[in-house]
Amino acid sequence: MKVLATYSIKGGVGKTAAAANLAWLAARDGTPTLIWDLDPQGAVTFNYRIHPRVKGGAKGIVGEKRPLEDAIKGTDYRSLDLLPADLRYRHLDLLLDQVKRSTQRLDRLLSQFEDDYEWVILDCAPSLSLTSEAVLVAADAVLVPVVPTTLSTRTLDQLTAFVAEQVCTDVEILPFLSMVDRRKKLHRELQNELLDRDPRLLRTPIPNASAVERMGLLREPLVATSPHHPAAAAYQALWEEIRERLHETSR
Amino acid sequence: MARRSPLVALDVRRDADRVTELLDGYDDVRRDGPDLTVHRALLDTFDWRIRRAGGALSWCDGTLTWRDRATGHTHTVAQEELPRWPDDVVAGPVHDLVADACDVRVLLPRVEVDLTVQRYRLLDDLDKTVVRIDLERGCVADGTPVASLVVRGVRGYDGEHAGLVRRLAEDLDGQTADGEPADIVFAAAGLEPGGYTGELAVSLEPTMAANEAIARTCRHLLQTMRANEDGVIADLDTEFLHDFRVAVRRTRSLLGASKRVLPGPVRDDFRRRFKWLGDVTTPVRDLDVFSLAIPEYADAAARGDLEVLQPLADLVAADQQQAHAALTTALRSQDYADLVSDWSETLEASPTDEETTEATDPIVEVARQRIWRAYRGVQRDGRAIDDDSPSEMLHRLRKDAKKLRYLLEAFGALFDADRTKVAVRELKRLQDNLGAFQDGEVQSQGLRGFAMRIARRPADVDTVMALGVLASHLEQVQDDARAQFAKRFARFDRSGNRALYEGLFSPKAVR
Repeated sequence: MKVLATYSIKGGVGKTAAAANLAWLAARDGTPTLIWDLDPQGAVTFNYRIHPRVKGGAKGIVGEKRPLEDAIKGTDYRSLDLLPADLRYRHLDLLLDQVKRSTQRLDRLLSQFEDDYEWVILDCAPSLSLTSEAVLVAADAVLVPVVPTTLSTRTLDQLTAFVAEQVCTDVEILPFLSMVDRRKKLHRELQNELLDRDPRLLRTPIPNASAVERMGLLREPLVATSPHHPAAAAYQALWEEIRERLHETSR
Repeated sequence: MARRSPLVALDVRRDADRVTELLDGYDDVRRDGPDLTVHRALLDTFDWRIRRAGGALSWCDGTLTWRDRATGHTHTVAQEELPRWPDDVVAGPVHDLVADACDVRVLLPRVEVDLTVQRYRLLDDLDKTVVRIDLERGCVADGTPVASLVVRGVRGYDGEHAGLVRRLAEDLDGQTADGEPADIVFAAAGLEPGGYTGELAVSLEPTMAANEAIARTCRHLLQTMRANEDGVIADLDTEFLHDFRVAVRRTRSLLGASKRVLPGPVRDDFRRRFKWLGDVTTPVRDLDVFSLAIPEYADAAARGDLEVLQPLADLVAADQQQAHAALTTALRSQDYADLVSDWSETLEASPTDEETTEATDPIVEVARQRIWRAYRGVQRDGRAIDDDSPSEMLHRLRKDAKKLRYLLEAFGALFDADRTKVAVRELKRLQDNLGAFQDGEVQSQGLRGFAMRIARRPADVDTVMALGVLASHLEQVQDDARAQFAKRFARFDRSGNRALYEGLFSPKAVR
């Protein structure tokens, strides 16, 4: 079981769209995959047409009073299951703060799925918090969408520093370019600069496309509804790259 | 991969068209893509080990699925071709479940069926799929139609699944959900799942006439032989012959115990003919034992390296082929056909003469006497053995014990079931020791024969040395068994066990 997290300190950078589409691609050939929507806004849950409700809420999960597996919902796609978001996840930080070894808690919860899933994808709320720390501990790799703007690239540096100084795990940071608009000069320039500067950066950029925004209307991943769309093709290429990168690391 | 979601199936052979109409009429149910055509094989061993392990194994167009019948959990694995042996299954949870259940038995496609699948989905208020429904229609080999409605839950939507099953059952006039899709196909194919077992499962009443009870048991044993014939001839796996031989030996034991129940000439005739049948199966079984033991031999003598023992494996295989051809000839012979039909007629006719004075006595009484007599035989022969006794005496005791075991298995249920189980368990401990002694001897003799043949040819030095190590290992096994015999027999002959047998079977036990 490999655990990936889509994570960004900053919101509105295409994090959830990436989680929803990459999870579908992971499960496409029948590979058992779980996506856990940890963002209280519940956008992934919404995109998969599932009611954002978890019995017992965050308290039940953190306190391990309710079996986590009971909250899992099958999606419309046979190998893809989803752990829905719940508005009460907004208290996750407070609740984690009250338990022992709080940053290990998610890792421990996920270990029960070791035999059930090959991929687990965590979609996290944008912030730097105790929950983020727990996610970074649980994940094998964290996928960080970076919009080619000065502010976004700065937050990537912040995250790198946070992992190195605070979390101290060997989680692999895999940034990728998101919402890229090739028409904008700044995007082109920053993209090239980043590709040169940061060897961790995945080579496939995800274009800024209205089709990605329309996912919220159709409530299905773009890669399922329009597999030939350039953005869908980009997710596909990005997924291949992620798999290769993880394969190289595990060797 | 493990999936946890409920699944039930309804047999809709009679009203498949109505089901289509019904589903098309539901507001919250939609068609799910075009119809599919699939080929499905339902797999199990001849003696239904997958089913007895609580599973249902099916292969469908490149995917092998194990379904836990009780929980509905499924494991699937991509498997290009139908697996024949448990180890043909791609490594993973399905392999482990299949290997644990089947052991040395071959996987047989019990039924194969081509199906057209109409797919539907039940949607909730968000237009999300909450239940999947497949109407599967096709024909089994003889043309009998099969149609099942498979209602498959989506994880986390059990309530919706149960609701739809109820709704369908009502709309289909109280059609009950069977719960197991495979059973619907088995029924259409005229197969009784779990129908065959190598166990001796004959229900007898204590007051039944002895000749009737013995005939009923022997009929069951004859059926077991007949059921295994094809598998023995086709050499599908070693257990067909094993079960066949056990049925023959049980029959011979019952014939031996049928004095004054069956007329003497009839008994003598069939004892002779069943001995012949037992004898013609022995060479193949001995070689089977060898062949099954080779991995164990490799562990004992070549640090697990099978390659070193390959010349031995090749010789065993060649001999097996020859012995199997002779066995096939015997099973296709007129002698065998006559034996089966004559025995069958005899069991129907229940012949008597002036000597069959116990033919109509209650079976419980006749069985008690025979078991007691067999037990006394084991006791007497066992007590006569000391540390210097020749091995023939242990072999005789092994045969005595086997006779007693068969009688206990055939008639034990007529007595106190729990106490009889203990009696069998105690006997089994003794038999294990005697079996180890015998196996050690038979195998080291057999090995010597093979080794001489291997040594005559240019052979790898590692192989020759491994054979030497193996021979002394087998001798050691036999010596160990011999050394432990006195202790094992003393345990069997201890006062508690004697009291158990006396309480159950001695003449004083008669109420």
